[in-house]
Amino acid sequence: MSEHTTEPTAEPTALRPSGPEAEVFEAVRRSILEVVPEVPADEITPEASMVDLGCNSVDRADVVTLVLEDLDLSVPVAEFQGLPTIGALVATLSRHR
Amino acid sequence: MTRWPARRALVTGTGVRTAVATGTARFAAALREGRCGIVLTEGAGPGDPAGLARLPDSAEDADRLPAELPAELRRRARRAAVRAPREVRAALLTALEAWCGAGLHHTPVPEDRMALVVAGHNLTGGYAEQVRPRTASGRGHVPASAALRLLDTDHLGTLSEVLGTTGPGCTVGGASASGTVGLVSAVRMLAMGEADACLVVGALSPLPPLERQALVNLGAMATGAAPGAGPPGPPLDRRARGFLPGEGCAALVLESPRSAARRRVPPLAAIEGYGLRLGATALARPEERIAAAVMTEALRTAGRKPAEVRYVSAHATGTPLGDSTEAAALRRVFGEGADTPWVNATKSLTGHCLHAAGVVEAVATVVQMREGFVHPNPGLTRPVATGLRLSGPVAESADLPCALSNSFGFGGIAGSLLFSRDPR
Repeated sequence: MSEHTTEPTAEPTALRPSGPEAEVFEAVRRSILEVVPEVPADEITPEASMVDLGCNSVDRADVVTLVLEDLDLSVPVAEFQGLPTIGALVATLSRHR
Repeated sequence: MTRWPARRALVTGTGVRTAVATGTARFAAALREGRCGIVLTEGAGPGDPAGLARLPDSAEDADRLPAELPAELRRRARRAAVRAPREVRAALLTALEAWCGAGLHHTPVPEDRMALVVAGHNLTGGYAEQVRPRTASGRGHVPASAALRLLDTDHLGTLSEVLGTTGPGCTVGGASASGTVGLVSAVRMLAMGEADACLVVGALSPLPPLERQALVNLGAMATGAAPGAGPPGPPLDRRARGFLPGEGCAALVLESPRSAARRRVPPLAAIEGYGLRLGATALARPEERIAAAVMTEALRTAGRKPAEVRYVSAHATGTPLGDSTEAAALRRVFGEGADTPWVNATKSLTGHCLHAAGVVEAVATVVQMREGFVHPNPGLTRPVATGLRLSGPVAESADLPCALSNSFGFGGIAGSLLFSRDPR
């Protein structure tokens, strides 16, 4: 955590998806911050997993539902189980848009 | 005759949040000055509730945790409080006051010997109102966590997770007697040796529109003035015309004498006996015979005589039939005259805290006993009955070694707890 906060990293946004996936990533980020507000915003990256950010199984399901609502998608929550990273979640969501 | 285990437990911690004050010390001061938290609703008509005692709480309360909380408990408590629905957050913050008051944050009871009771039912109606619109789209956007949050046991799970307790636990229901039934359940667990201590939380009772309107139509809740009528009178007054709801939450730590001695925690008071009965009715109708029977049972199981009881915290909601029935039961048990116990109605200050009322009033009883006063009954000038020693417009100094706290709920549920200031 201290690495993220103290080291003047080059361009944190460079790690973020660009194009259509960027919008989905932003929606995921907003939802994570709504469900687990104690998570530092800069730790939410495509490489991170929600488990590592402290989200339990119910939190993860809530994040998915919030994103679906935000993006006005209707996809069974079960389709999002077992995704290893936030990036994988973004990719799956993007396929349904 | 079978001899049951003693119906007694020590009180070693208290917590309370009501419209008149948050925290036991401030609550005690508010009771002494007779501060009333009920705000009448301007322009309320004969079909609308006349007023409400609102709990001035907010999500920011999660940042106002007791200063003495150890860091890890503080982190867990804050995390849970921020995320929880309002009712669960209130339960958690109130429980933490009682927890710290009982010294459980520095001198714990073994986790598997610490019991939890949440008193109240239908506690999630306010949360349900918030979530329900999300079903409207028909696109399935209902949070998975609602499956847990919609259960009353969300209170129990959240408290157990934050406090790290693994002893027995349950929610306990008894309509407006829930708080008292919950305290009785805790006394039983301690008497049966199932736990060394039990945290009892009287839960904040939501009053969503459906329930509110049904209570108005039943005639149980005071409504706005008909033309020419004045504001509703307080409980135990002839001008009362129903209860005024109050938002509130309270917690008590009950503990076995052996556990309290081992932890070197001084008791605040004791529950020495109780009576708990049904009235063979599904209605809201109170029964004088049953109300008298639970008080007599509380006295008998505590080994106390009526003359030893110096104070009764009446259930007294402000419904004319309920108040006059309780008054008649009090005269039946204690007689009439100057030597009878002081009687007041804490609901005249806090409003009717519904499921939490029994625990709110248990805290009120303990603080009045310990500080030696009987709180006022503001505005009570035309009593429903003669022969009761009702407190007046200001607090009375009084030596209160022994007191009763009554609760009566819809469905004929009646309970009375006997409190002693100086545990024997």
